[in-house]
This record gives sequence, structure tokens and C-alpha cells, in this order.
Amino acid sequence: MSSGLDLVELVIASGKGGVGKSLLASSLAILLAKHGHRLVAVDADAEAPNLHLALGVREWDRVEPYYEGRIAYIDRSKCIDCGLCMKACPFGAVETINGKYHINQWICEGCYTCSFVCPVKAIKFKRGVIAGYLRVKEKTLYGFPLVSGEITPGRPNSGKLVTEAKNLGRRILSGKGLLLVDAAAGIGCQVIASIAGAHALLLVAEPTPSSLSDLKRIHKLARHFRIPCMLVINKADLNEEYRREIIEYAREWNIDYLGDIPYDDNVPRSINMLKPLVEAYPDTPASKAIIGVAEKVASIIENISEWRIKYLPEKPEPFIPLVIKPGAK
Amino acid sequence: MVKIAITTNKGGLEDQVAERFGRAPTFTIVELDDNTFEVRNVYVVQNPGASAGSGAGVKAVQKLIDEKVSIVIGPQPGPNAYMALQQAGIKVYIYTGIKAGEALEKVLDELKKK
Amino acid sequence: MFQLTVTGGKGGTGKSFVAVNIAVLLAFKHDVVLADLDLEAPNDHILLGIDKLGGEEPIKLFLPFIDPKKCTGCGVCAKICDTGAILMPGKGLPVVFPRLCSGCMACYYACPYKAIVKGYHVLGHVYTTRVELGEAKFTLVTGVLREGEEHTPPGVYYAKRKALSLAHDILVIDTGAGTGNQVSIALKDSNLVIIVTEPTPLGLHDMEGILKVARDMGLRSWLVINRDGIGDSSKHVEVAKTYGVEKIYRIPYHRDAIDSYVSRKPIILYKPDSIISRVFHEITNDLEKVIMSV
Repeated sequence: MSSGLDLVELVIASGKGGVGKSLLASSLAILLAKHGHRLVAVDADAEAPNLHLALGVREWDRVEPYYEGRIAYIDRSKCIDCGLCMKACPFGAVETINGKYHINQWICEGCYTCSFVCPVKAIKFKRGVIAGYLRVKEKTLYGFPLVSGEITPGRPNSGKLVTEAKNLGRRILSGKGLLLVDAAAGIGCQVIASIAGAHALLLVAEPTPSSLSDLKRIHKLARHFRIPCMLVINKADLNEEYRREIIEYAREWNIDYLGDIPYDDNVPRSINMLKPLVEAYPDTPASKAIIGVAEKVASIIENISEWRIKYLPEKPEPFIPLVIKPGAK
Repeated sequence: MVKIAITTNKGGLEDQVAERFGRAPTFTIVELDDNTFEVRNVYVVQNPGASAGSGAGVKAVQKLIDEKVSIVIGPQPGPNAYMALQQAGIKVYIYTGIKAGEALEKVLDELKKK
Repeated sequence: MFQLTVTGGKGGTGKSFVAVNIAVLLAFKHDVVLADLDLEAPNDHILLGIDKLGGEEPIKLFLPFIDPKKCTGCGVCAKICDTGAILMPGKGLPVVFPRLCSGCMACYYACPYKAIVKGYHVLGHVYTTRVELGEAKFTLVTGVLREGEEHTPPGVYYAKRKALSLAHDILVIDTGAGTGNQVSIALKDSNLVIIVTEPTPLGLHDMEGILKVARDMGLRSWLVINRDGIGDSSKHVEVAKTYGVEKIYRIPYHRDAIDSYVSRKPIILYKPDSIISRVFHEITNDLEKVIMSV
């Protein structure tokens, strides 16, 4: 890699779900690997991981349980049913079942607050909770490794599992190559963990008003972290008005608009075959468009330092929490 | 006594400097004579940030504060760790891709010059 | 009060599409509150063609402030803090990092000297908008997370409590994507859960994740297979039945849905004769029977 870095982290995100991140991530990974890039794919959607399905992975080589956090429970022999825990819980995890107080394990984050307000010390904590699994496929059918985190439903802090998955991916690369990260939908803790440390962000949008709205939100996040962005519009021929609005937004904010991918019936067909589109239907219009995008991405990666300078958000827009001091309104 | 910490994986001066700051598995702490900068003692501590759900950087820096470290050597700290280091008045020297012992030597060279 | 919660696990299956259309249909005859609890990517107002949300209220999350007159520097607050939001520097007062604070108040309760004072940090906003689409009149409650904030779940709980305070008859909740506690907080106390999936292996995988949560929370579920026709849904039906899903509906893949999306009008008003609108009418009729019987 010429004006490149040894290890490049490219994250694919969108804000809105269902616009085609995994479609693009799986096909891009294959094309870049064929192009000669040493890469590890990371599925950073720990709550609803899908990348392994798109890549046709049926079994994992390694599955490691990931222990995290505590879950509170009420010792019924001590509880006096005062209900103070329910008032104090910031997550609404305390509920009554047949008039008796009980902590919902699908909501509790183990923050300790209830145990402090309980007048009779009736609240205890279950530790050693399996909060999820870190899964590794050393070599997918397409030659590169896949790391995927999957959180146990209801557990909080999926961001940490995402960070673990990325770290594992980096270790496998041993400092050289491309870390291709498929982020979750949204802009919260999971997505923030996915984009932290990225050299470049590939934003995927579809020409609908919701996608545009969510694109703006994820782009704001990219500006907080000062990460340069590129954009691909998927299902681009669905609506010309919104397609133009998205392109205009990209132009306004110095986002590298790489191009469009047309709506293509072969996409859902390839998903049902558990094959990336470019493998299942290499000549279909969407594949041809993705191949074009992949070439542009490859050249960006090879000249990443230059590209970053060109597309780095101009002014830093650090995130400033909105704080209200005690006594103020 | 001056204490310098280095982010490490398994720990020890033969280990590589860890690639992440807040979630580095361990800190290798070196106790040095104030004047001669001779190494008096080396020990390894677990980094509570490594197993943190969030705020890893802050927890890592808290450990450094508790150990009364005045200088830390490692990769670029993340934004939370960076702020915490500023609050704590701990100076950071950024080195990666080399052994902990080597990074220490380089920093000591810089310090001796002052 | 009847709580109907629409969820799906996978993003983009059409939760908001389903939630909005059912809410509008119910609003013709009932007092409805529609709560958009997808704080990270709220879309219901967009599907309804609403440009300006009303009644903005900050979602205030507790943030500790240290009273220097009472603080002894014991460091208990820093030790107890789960998220690393409090740092005990070698000398001086504890330092609070607002971005990392989850608002749990453990430090407030733990401080032996009562030296922590309640301040707040704004996690996002809740909006309350009165919606009138012809005869369908209802209240839309929208939660919006401030970009850069990490901790969505307390915001979901806050916005849900707002919606609950306004709902008398029916509350329709549209959750976010995923299966974490930001969804389970929304699901809690539902009288009925509608799970929206798509007939692909990706939809199947996430549907099962959400079914597990719903079952373990003891919640009654129905399934909607959206974009029916783009793939094979036989496995979805099989799996859903093993989880005791009582009813299964199919919304066919049709251009009408995209058109209504882009036009920012609910399809039941935009194209009332569409095959998709007919399915929504069917679901709503069955829903009303359940609501009456509760």
C-alpha cells in the first residue's frame, strides 16, 4: 500500500436498518480479498448479527463465552415489599408479580442503585453472567476470517462485545491489513463502539425520507469523531427526489459519493441462498455496481492517508454533553 | 521515587507495548530513582479498564492514579482516557510497535536530557 | 389500558410501517397514543409526514455534582461507579465525566457524607405531537437520542413513562432494532407483541432472538411476515409455532409500500384499496377483538 497505513479500519454504517450494510459488507469483503487485500471481516451488530449468514458460515471454529456484568435479584426472605427499589430503578427493571417484587433479568443492568435504597439489604447480585459469545471462523469460504459477537438478548452494553470483536480482529491481522467492520443500525453505544478508531466510514443509504433522516444522525456522529466518510446509495432507483437530496447532502458535507446500486430482485434471492450477491449473481446489475464501488474503495484504501486529508471533516465538532447544574431549571 | 507505567499485554519489560490504552490488559510499572533514573523495581498490575463495560479509559487512569504513577507510556489514549490523564496530571509518551523495555529506554533518554 | 408493542430484532423489517398503520386504523375508533421508542433512529413521524414535532421536553438523566464542603475525598463514589464516570485524582475533588454517566444514582446513594448533589445531563428529548389525519386523531410521543450519547435504555424508559402518562385506552409502541435491554424495556407489560420479520434467513435469525425474549418475559405474540414473496418463509412459520405464536399475517411485497413511504402518508390512507391496506385492516379487526376481551 503506497500512501497507505499498515492497518486500515473501514466501518460500514447507515443509521437506518435494512438498507444493505451486510449486503455491501459481504460482497465488498470478497471483492477486496480477491483484489489481494489481507482482511478480517467483523460483524459489529452484536444484537442481531447477520454477516455470517450473508457469507454462508454454518459453523464456527471458536465460540468463547463472554462474561460481563451482574444481575440483581431480590432475596424474598428479607424483602418487606416497600417498593423503594421500583421507584429508584432508572431502567424500570423492578416489577410486581402476584403482588411480590421481582427484578426483570432482561432489563437489569446491575448498576447497584436498588441495593443502596433497599432498607433491609434484600438485594443481591448474580455474577458470572454470560452476556454473549465471541465467535470466530478462521477461514470463510472466501478465504478471510470472520469475527462475530452475539449478545444474549436483554443484556446491556453490547458496545463492549463489539470492542472485543474488533480487538480480536486486529489481533488476527497482527497489525497489517484491512479490518472491515459491519456496524449495527442506530447511533447508540453499539455503533459508537463500532466506529471508534475507524480510518474511514462507508455510509449506506436508500432514497427514502427515513434513511435520509438517519443518515444525517450517523453523519453527525462521524463528525464528532472526526472520521472522513464515503457514501453509497443502495436501491438508488426507488426514488429520484430522495436520491438527489442524499447526493446534495453529501456534496454539502464533503462526503465522497462513490455511486449507486440499483434495486435488484436477485439480491433477496442471493440472501436466501446464503451467498453474497457477487458470488451468486455476478452479472446482475447490482453486482456490477458493487464491483465498481469495490474498485473505488480499493483505491481509497491504497491511498488512505491522502484520501483522509481530503475528506476529513473540516472543523472539529466535539461532542459536548448538555449539563444542567443543580438548582438550575 | 518516580513511577512510570507502560501499557502491556502479559506484562513485563520484554512484552510488547499494548495497542490499546484504556483496555490494555496490564500495566507494567517501573519504580525509578528520582535523580539517577536507575530502575529499582518492576511489577505488573491488572488493568481494571480491560474488563470494563464502558469508561475503560477512566478506570485505567484511576488505576494509574492509585499506583501513584506520574508518567505513562503507550498508544494514543482515547478521548475519555485523555481527559482523565489531564485531570490526574499524568504525562503521556506515545510509543507503539516496540517492546516495553525499549519504549522505557527512549522515554528515559528524553527525561535525562531535561 | 392496552399496550401493543411492535418489534422485530432486525432493522429495516418494517416495524415502523406496521406500527404506524395499525395506530392510525385504531385511532378512528379509540383513544390512541403511538410511542416511537426507537430513540436512535426515530421514523414514525416521517412515515406520518410530520415535519415539526411538538412539546419538546429534555430527557434529564441524573448527573452527580460534588459538594466541596461535604466531600472528604474518600473515593467511594469512584469505586462504586460502574461506568467509570467518576475519577478520583491524586488530590482534589472527584471529577465527573458526564458522557460516561448512565444516570443510575449509585454514587448518590453510596456517598457516606451525602456530598453528591443531583444535577442533570440531557440524554435527548421527548416530543408530544397531536396528529390529525382526517378522522384519525391520536397523540404521537417521539423519543430522540442526542447524537453522541451512548446510553439509550434510560431514555427509552423515560419516553415510555411519558407515553404511559398520556395513554388511557390504547398504547402502541414502536421499538428500536436489536434485542438488547432498550427493546426489553419497551416490551415490558405488553398485552400483545407483534413481531415483524422478513422472509429471508436474516429475518429468521433475528425473529428467533426476539421470540426468545418475548417468551421469557411471558408475552403473547403475533407474527407479521413483511415483504412476503421475496423469499421462503416456511421456516419462519415453523419456528414461530414452536414459540407459541398465535397468529401469523403476511404483507406481500408490493410497490405500494415504497410509494407510501416516499409520499410520507400511511398506506391505509394513501392507498386504501391496496392489498397491503387490506392486511392491516384484517390485523386491526383481530386486534380489536382481543382488546375488547381484555
